[in-house]
Amino acid sequence: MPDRIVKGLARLFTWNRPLRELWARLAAAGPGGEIPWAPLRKSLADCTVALVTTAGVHLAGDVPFDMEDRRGDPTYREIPGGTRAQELVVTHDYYDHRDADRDVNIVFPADRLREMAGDGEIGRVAPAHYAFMGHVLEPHLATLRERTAPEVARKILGERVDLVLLSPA
Amino acid sequence: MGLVQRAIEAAGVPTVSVTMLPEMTRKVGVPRAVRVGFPLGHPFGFPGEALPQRRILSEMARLAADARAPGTLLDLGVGGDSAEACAACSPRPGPPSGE
Repeated sequence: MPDRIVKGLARLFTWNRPLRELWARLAAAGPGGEIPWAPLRKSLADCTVALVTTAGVHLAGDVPFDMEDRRGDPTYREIPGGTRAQELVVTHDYYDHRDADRDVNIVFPADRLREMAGDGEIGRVAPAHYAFMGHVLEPHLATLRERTAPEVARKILGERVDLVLLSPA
Repeated sequence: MGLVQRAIEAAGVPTVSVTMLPEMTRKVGVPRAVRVGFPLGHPFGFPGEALPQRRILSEMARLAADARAPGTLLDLGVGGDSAEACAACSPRPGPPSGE
């Protein structure tokens, strides 16, 4: 599909509420089974908190997500915990990110999380955040499910993170 | 995104997501989520508006502490891409102009 059609559709879905609600209704059911559950074990003021997003955010100098493969990109990017929003860019053709380009905090509120740590609302910002690009179809979906998502989960666990806050696009 | 959230929670780390598509979020089945009425691509509102960004993030953190059962969905607003999108948000009715 030509680039301009993909981007046009992305804009339509971003701004048209009835259309995206229809899409949500028609979307396939989830993985099913029991929803996993891990209780929060500390007070928020003691927690190490990481952000995870599927909004296609990455450091400006990092390798962009693959926009050539229309089946998506199941890889992820690490974003050091101290990164400021202005050091980040968005590579994601499947939503209208012109507003996020102006202020990436609207999809990935790194600056706000740092302020929360500064104010003592949370304990500290995690050493790393993680970003995916949310458009992932088969066969890449299997890679996400079996390899990259569990890999990020293991890294987060290894970094002794107490709480993860996630944002879609 | 639900897939990634579930993987992290399954590894033992509590998670909270923000959603603009609560129906889809319910279908996927995630441990905890807050719902906002913003357009796609705007989970924390609009550029330069730090207050709603912070408020939504704070509500997410609080839900992590308060939620008692998997599948908890907290509605932060009453719907619509408007001032009511969340309690702390101001209106931005249309797409940005220009490229």
